[in-house]
Formats: sequence, C-alpha cells, structure tokens
Amino acid sequence: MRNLIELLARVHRWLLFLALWGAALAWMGTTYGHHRTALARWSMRIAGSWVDAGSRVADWRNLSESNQMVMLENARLRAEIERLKSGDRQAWSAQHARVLRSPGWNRSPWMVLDGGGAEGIAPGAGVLAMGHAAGKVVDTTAHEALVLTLVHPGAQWSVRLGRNGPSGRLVHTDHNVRQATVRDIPWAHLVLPGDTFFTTGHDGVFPADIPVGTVLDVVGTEADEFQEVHLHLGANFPAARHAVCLPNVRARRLDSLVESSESLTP
Amino acid sequence: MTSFLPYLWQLAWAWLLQVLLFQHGVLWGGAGVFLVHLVGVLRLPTGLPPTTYLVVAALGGAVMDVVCMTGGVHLAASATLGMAYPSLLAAFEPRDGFRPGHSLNPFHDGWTTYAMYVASACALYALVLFGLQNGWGLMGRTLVHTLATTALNVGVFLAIHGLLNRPSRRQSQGPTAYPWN
Repeated sequence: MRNLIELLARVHRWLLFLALWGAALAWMGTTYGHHRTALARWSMRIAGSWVDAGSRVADWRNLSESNQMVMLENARLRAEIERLKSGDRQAWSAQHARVLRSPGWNRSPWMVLDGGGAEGIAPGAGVLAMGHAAGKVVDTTAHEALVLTLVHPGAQWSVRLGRNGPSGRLVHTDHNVRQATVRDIPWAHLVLPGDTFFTTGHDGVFPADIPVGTVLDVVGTEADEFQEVHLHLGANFPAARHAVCLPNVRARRLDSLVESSESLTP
Repeated sequence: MTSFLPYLWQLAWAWLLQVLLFQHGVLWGGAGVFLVHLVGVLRLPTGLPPTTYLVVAALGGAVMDVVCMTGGVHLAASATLGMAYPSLLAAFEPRDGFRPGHSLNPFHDGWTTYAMYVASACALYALVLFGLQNGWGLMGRTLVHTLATTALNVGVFLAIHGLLNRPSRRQSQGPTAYPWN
C-alpha cells in the first residue's frame, strides 16, 4: 500500500494531466457534433475490436471441434461424389480419421491414423489428405490404421496426366516428402509445369480422377523414350492433421472372392 | 505567497482582456487567433512545483472554455502547455541557470530568446487547439493555422511587453558605484 501511494505521488502530475485531457475530451464530446461523432466512432471501433478478439478466442477454443465437423462433412461429400461418379451407390464409402503419425514428422514414410477396424476402416482403403491422394491402408488394429503413403520408397502408384492423358508410375526417390516422380510418360506427350496428375482408378485403391499433385519440372533428353516428371504432391504430409479413408466395398468383395477361390484350386 | 500575487494579477487581467476583447479578434479566415490569456501563464516564475504550472494553466483554459463556450479545447491545450511548461523553461535556461523566482521577460533575457520562448509555447498551444478542432483529416490546415497564430501572437506578446512592461527608472535603480546611474 505504501509503495502504491509512493508510486501515485511520483506520477501524480501525469495522472492529473490525463484526467484533464479526459475531462476536455468528454466536454468536447458533449459540445461539438463532430467530436461526439468521432468519440462514438472510436468507442464503437474499440468495442468492436474487443468483441472481435473475444470471438476469435472462442473460435480458437472450438477450432478442434470445427475441424472435426468440417472433415466429417468432407468425408460425407467425398463418398457422395464417388458414388455419383461410379454410378454404384455401394461402390465407395468414406471414413474420417485423425492423423497420429505422418511422413515429415519423423523419418518414417508411414502414416498412422486414429481409426481402425472398429470405425470401419479396413486394409485396402485409399486415404486422402487435404483432398489429394495420400496412400493406402495396409494394416489395422481396433482403433488405429497403418497407411502406406505415396512417399514410401517401395511403393508405386498408377497416375494419369490430366483426365485423359497418358498414364505413368508414381514413385518416391528422394527425401523430400512434398515431391515425387512420375515415370513412363512418353516424350510424345507435352507436359508443362503446373499440369495436374490424377489417379487412374486402375489399382482399385483410389477412385479415378482424385488429384495427386502438380508438375514442377520435366527431366530427360530427347534421346530417351520416356520422360521423368517431378511432381509437387498435393497431400501435404507434414501439415496433415485429418484424413479421409475410402474403403471400396466392391474391391473388398472381389478380394474375398479371390481368397475363397484359392481354396478351390486343386 | 505574497510574491506570487503579482503573477495572479497578471493572470487575471490577461484572461479578462482575452475574454472581453481579443477572443473576438479572428484574423485571416480563422488562421490567426489571439492568445493573450497566455501572457499571464508565460509570466509564471521559475522554481514553482511542476504541478502548479499544470493546475494554473488548466484552470485558465477551463475558464476560457466556460466563458467563450469553446467546449474543452482550451482546457486540453492549456493542460498540455502546463505539462510542458517546466521543460519549456529548461530549454531556455541560461548557462548559469535562472535565479529563483525569475520570470522570463524580454528586457532581461533578450528579445530573441523571449520571442523563441513565446513562439514555442504558442505553437504548442495552437497545435493542440487547432488539431482538436480540425481532426486528423485536416492536419495541413492545422499546421498552417498554427504557424499563422504563432507568428501573430509573438508579435502581440512582444508589443505588450514593449509597451506595458518596460522597466521603470525606479525599478532599475539600486546600489551602484556609478553616480550617473
């Protein structure tokens, strides 16, 4: 208390000055229309900024829940789109899952999802991150799923330039998890930076026409028969926090049919 | 307290002159405004507590606002001047310092020094006065009015001191070794 009194005694001139200015401004506000308007505008602006800051804090608190809702909606819409595209209402379903591990977080090329058999995610399902192809579920527990990603060095994926262009193999050759290489694209086809590669749907993992990435550069000489295309992957693995799994019900039926046929082989 | 009475008298007549006469003198389309009530404030002696300058100046501004119905602009400008007054005095303090109770006047401190002192005080006062009236949008107009008002009032203050505050022969006489003084 004593220190407070000493502090007030030390700054009493400034306090008096501010009080006088406050009184003068209040006086002006009651006298002049212009100043009254200006004061009202300032107060509204300050109040607005406080309300805005408060709402931002509230939004930030609900951000996780909002993201969850958005991803659920994305999963539903994705399933709806694939059903409409395939013409088979049972062909594709969609499941939302949170990302627990992802390439770029550590040196592993695998992705782990917070959803497994109990949530309807089964091996063979395609995985999308940020609307782009990201990988394939290869194993599940009750509540987790292991995903073979596009950047796994041992994996190859079927992709196509544009919606009607030539098909090629997508492989990952370096340590950059944001880039990959497409091989077996003939030189006869013009590939330009910025062109988009899509999934072909031939492998049964992804539906056709899911975007994979955009062209960064083309490597090779005219003497080669094929060109190597460097891609910027659309699935931003280091930033991925949510994923959509696309189990193909028909593929699962076909797999079970093939498995059952193996027991019939003499 | 007795030594402070002449300054109170000067404050009173300066305010009275401003309220009764000079507040109606607005020149150059509002760019030149008389600030004669500051004559008393700028005559306040050195060595007083800084808060005294603030209170006296703010009181003068508040009186101006009440009488002239200017709604707080003189109070804000006077409070600013009162707050800056000790710094203003320090800026014009000679190398050997002011003697206690000294009040700046052109006959003792020099006409140029006094003119600069008045110009600084009037510019600060006018800047706040016109700045509050015009707002940020008319800053150029505020600066022009401040310059015009400062120039006008420097002339007025020097004229007032030259005409009314001349040291009399009786005041200048004191113990001296020279019989012709």
